[in-house]
Amino acid sequence: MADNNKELQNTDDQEVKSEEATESSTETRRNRYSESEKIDIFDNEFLPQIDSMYNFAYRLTFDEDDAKDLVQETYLKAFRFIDSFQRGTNAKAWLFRILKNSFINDFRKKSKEPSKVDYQEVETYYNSEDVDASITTDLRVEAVQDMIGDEVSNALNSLAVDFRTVIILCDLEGFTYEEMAKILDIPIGTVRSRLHRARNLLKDKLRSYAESMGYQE
Amino acid sequence: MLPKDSPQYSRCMELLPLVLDSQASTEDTDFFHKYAVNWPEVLDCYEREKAFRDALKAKLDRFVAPQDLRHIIREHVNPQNIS
Repeated sequence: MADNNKELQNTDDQEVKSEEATESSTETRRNRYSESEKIDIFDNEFLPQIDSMYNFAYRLTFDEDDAKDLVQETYLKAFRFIDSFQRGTNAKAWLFRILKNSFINDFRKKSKEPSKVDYQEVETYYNSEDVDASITTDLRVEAVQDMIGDEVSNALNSLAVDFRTVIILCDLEGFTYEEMAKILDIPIGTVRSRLHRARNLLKDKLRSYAESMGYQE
Repeated sequence: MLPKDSPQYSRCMELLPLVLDSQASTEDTDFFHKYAVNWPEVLDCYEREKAFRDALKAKLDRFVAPQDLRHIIREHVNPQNIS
């Protein structure tokens, strides 16, 4: 990341501008902040999110250096396009969206992880209006409580990235469905279906651990 | 005890996932807790799901950004560096 600024300008302008254009056409106006205002927003609204950003980046990449690069890249993009951020609005969600897109566009291309899960099965499985289906499958919670963090982390990490992401955003970061829909560029119904499926998959993984620990259903 | 074909039951079932994910309004959350006591299986489901989410949060550590990262980012960010 020695000369990250130039690298970012050369490789990512198009995608970020496209993203910003989409957003600005629907919900934001471009501002013309002064240099001191930009620094003020950056220091007081963006930088306080750095721990959450790093936690998200680490859980996506599983690598300290990659997570640092991803967070750094996200912040530099955020500063460069700060005029499309509305002061006082949800900076954390805005930053998470940039980070998620950076991960998809840059980091995931380099990895060997399958890029997508088969959502057809998921969307068929779950109708967002079908409330009875929104409760996840059973798992003895005592088993999870007796596990060490590494076992739970490993189970989460073994999920496909799109499923892992919704659990992180909802259960760890506390985003609303609406915020998640904006971060992920998907409808709210899809957020709910993906979350539902992700939790069931996670429970399946944890159940294997639980059985190995002697818990019976 | 209210029957399962009551409108309150339907509403509670609609609200259950929203309450669990803290996506319901205060009013709806209150409604859920007021009426869900009529159906032990609904309450049981709520308790199990809530315990699962709580256990997940408790078990998953949060990774904190390295101390130098903030400084590295801040050094890169100035109007001259980024145009």
